[in-house]
Amino acid sequence: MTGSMNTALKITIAIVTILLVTFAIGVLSGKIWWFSEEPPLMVVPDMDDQFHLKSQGEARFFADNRAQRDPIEGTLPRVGRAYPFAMGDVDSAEKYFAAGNPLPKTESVLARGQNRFNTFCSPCHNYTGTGDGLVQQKGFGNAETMNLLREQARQYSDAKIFHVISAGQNIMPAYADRISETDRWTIVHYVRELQQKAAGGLTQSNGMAATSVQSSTISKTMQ
Amino acid sequence: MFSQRVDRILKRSILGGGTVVAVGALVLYFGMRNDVSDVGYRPQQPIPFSHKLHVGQLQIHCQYCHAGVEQSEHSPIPTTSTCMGCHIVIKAESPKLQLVRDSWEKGIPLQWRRVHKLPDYVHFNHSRHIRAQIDCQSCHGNVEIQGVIAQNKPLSMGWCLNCHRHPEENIVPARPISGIFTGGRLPQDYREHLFEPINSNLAAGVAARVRPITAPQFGAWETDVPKPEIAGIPHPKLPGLGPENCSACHY
Repeated sequence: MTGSMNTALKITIAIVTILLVTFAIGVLSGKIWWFSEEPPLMVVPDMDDQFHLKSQGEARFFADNRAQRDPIEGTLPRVGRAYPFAMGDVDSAEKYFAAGNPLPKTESVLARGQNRFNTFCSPCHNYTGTGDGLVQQKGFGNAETMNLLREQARQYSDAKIFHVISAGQNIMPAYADRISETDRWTIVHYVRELQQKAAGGLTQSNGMAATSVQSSTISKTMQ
Repeated sequence: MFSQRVDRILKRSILGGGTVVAVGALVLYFGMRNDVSDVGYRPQQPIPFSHKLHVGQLQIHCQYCHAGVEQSEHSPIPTTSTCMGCHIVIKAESPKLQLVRDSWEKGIPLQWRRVHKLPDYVHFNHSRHIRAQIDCQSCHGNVEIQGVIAQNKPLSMGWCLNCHRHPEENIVPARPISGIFTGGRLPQDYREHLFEPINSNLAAGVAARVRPITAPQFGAWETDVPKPEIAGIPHPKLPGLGPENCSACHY
């Protein structure tokens, strides 16, 4: 009896040992991992953390603990420029940019415009400009006022579209800080192309409602 | 010299001690590797922000919030005004967003906890990698399915060099969701393929701009991206092998 007990015990120990060793090898080789809220353990810190300010980091030296400082008043950025007109100041913008879009309408400009449009505009305006993007459907604004293909938006001058992208309009935030000036003009070209395509589609399909929006979502306007 | 009993004890303690030291050394050596110690770091953030919701479901491109990654070494954490661009209307009363509203009203920055961190003696430049059309997923994993961001990749030197030597095996080519500019237009219906590499078979011949040539030998990449016609449009760089010399990253 004791002999068989011993055999069973030995087999159990062997299996457990094999499992433990497999687990240890799996962990040590990086194949098995789990989540931890604790920062990684640094046994030897090397020079991983050096004493200098890091982008968007913390700096106890300053009263507000921000490593990133605001530009000094009256200074100009080396690259780009701040957009000078406030939201709603369309007249000044149209006067200033009276020359219209400075970029030629080439394929590479349109490609860049599509890329920037899809990145920054499609959440609300959708990929085709119909104004029913996925974020809009979450309850952000009215799909009809966000429709870039509607008649009113088609009458906008290039300068006004540029101004709206730069400074915002109604609930749309300003994008001058996130999209460079050149890129904003490429977007203007791309929006114009979307509008032309939609207009062409309208005439061809005999009013197949390329501009109408079927949005079954909550629409909310700020005004 | 010793009695038999002392001799036995000595032998056993030397054997046992040696085993403990050896196992300990192994555990320390392997346990301190980045792929063991760093992968899986998932700190709780001050705001329960979910990439799964914003990227996975709402399909907001990476660069919508992390704008500037094309120009900058550092991939920016979005400003509070970026959050408030939408959340001034959407979920405007949500208690989860209280910190964002406080930050917005008082001008105090949000204190996110940093997940991906390289040692200070390494210079990683985001813009170079973005402009070489390397997808964010290559280093950050499947962000679009993560509720709380965790470190997915070891970010160790050996892991970096793996890609620099064999990009064709290791990198994820640009996907539309990243907002990486590939130099060409995407097909109009690419929305269903947001999370797939642009130059996979889906877009072959339509938007494929980069394809591996002589990959097995040199891992070199070829591109037919046109030269930029306008200054200021960041055009994709000619993708090639990542540099291997030390001073490329340690300077």
